[in-house]
Amino acid sequence: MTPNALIEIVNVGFQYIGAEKVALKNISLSIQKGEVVAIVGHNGSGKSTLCKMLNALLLPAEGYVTVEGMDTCDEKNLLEIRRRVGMVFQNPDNQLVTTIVEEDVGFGPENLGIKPSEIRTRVNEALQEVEMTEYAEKASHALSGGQKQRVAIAGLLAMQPEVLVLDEATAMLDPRGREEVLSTVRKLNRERGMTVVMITQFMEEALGADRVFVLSEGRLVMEGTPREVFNERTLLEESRLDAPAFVKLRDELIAAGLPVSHEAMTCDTLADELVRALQAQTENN
Amino acid sequence: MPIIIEQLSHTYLPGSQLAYPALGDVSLTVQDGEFLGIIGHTGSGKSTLIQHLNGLLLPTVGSVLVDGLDTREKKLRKQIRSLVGMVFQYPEYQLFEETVERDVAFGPKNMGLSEEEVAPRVEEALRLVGLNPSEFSEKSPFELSGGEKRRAALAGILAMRPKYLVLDEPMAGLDPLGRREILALIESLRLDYGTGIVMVSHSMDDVAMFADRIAVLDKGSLFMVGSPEDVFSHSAELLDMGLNLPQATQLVRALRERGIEIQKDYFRMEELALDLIGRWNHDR
Repeated sequence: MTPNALIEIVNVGFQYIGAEKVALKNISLSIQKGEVVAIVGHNGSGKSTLCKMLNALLLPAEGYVTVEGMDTCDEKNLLEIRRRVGMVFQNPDNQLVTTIVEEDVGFGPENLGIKPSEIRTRVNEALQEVEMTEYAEKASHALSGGQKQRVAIAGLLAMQPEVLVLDEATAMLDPRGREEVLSTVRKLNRERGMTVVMITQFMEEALGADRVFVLSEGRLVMEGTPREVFNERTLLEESRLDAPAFVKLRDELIAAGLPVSHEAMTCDTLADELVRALQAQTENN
Repeated sequence: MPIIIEQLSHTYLPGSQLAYPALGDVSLTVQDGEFLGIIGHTGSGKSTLIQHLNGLLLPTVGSVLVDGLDTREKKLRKQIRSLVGMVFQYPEYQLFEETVERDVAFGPKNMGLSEEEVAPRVEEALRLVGLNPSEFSEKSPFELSGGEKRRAALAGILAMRPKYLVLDEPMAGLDPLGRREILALIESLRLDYGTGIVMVSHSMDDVAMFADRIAVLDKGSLFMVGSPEDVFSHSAELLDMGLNLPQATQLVRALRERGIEIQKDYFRMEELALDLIGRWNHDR
């Protein structure tokens, strides 16, 4: 076992009943405490299946998954694993269970049998973390998509999880809602050291991760920093994926002879480097 | 003939305490064969607007004429719905038949076409969306992958051979290649069949790349309609509305903030790349 590994996935294989193809084949990877990991892959690549293995919603047919050393196949670990691994799903309308925001956030800890005064404290803190305190007594159905996802995150925080797993949690949101959810998650990682696993179809979102895992046809085909992964343009395309737009532009500029480094992958970093290159040149003339 | 939207207002639950004005005084024409992009923040009225295009919603005030047919005329509605195909968000959730073939045939059958007329349409529609009929016709729609389901749902609309195709976030949830495939399909419908396209999207890059004109909705009103160049030269206003900018436009702004003068408001990466490479070569 890797030191500090929060989640270990070892030689995992899985096939849905009646399916022609295997959903996952021989996947091994580990997720360290405090890191942000992105899992990307085409539709049907096995991302969501893998994600559901992390809190025992699905159990591996081959291999095993452990969370803080606890095997997900061992039924007596179930409650502890589910408390530690909080999941946010794609559809904001499918995750809130009660009508009032703060009741929804308190639902999880209540189920854990925590005493009411402690629940109160946790709910207040969790709503504060996701910046939804002013909506505590509002009706949850009237919130925007981004707000609903943040309330869902607060509901998980109230259970004091070790890791947040976002299964395409921004896919159905508009750009503002996406940014709300992403900045909430980034803040939780930065300030509380929350481990984050993000499954996403937006390559730009994966740029913010410490490591990126690429799945294709149920196999793990690449693993590395965003810089490493998004430099493998051919392999990405073979996996039905694509590099972020600024990475593609950067490569085109490099090919044309501009002195831009491979570190530039976002709008701001690329702009900084371009300014440096263009200004240095003007001064030389 | 075009779709003419004239001084359209729509209020949900009019006359009740919950009355909610969703659209106010929108006038807009969808030209034959054009690609009109519709952008706007959540709650700006985009969905309300597009549901007027085939009479799913009717104007509270104003009118919508599809090739001269008024959507308020109940007896014209069937004809209007065969002219205007509507693809909602996540259309694969609406698949329901036992086989792909029967699902795709549902629309044209409903139009009153005979079996003989329906069969070639189903085959054509499946080919258009890239699902080989001999492989997919007899499959259950529920066996398909996410991307295939989306395309099967789209085929169901195309089998009605609509003159206009209205799509609400057709690429949502698809992988990058799946997104490109759907966009290429939409583009080929326009080029090969002259289908008019109305597409609602949060992806400014996709709209910038494909739309002839873009309509910008803000809080139920039409803020502007114009070419991508016109629209994305209003970047400050768009950001204020909570909208994104195409990535090329974002980089232009970032470079200007850093003191680089760029005259043109680029909205396509290729053009910005040429400009930057030109500068570099010119200065040498």
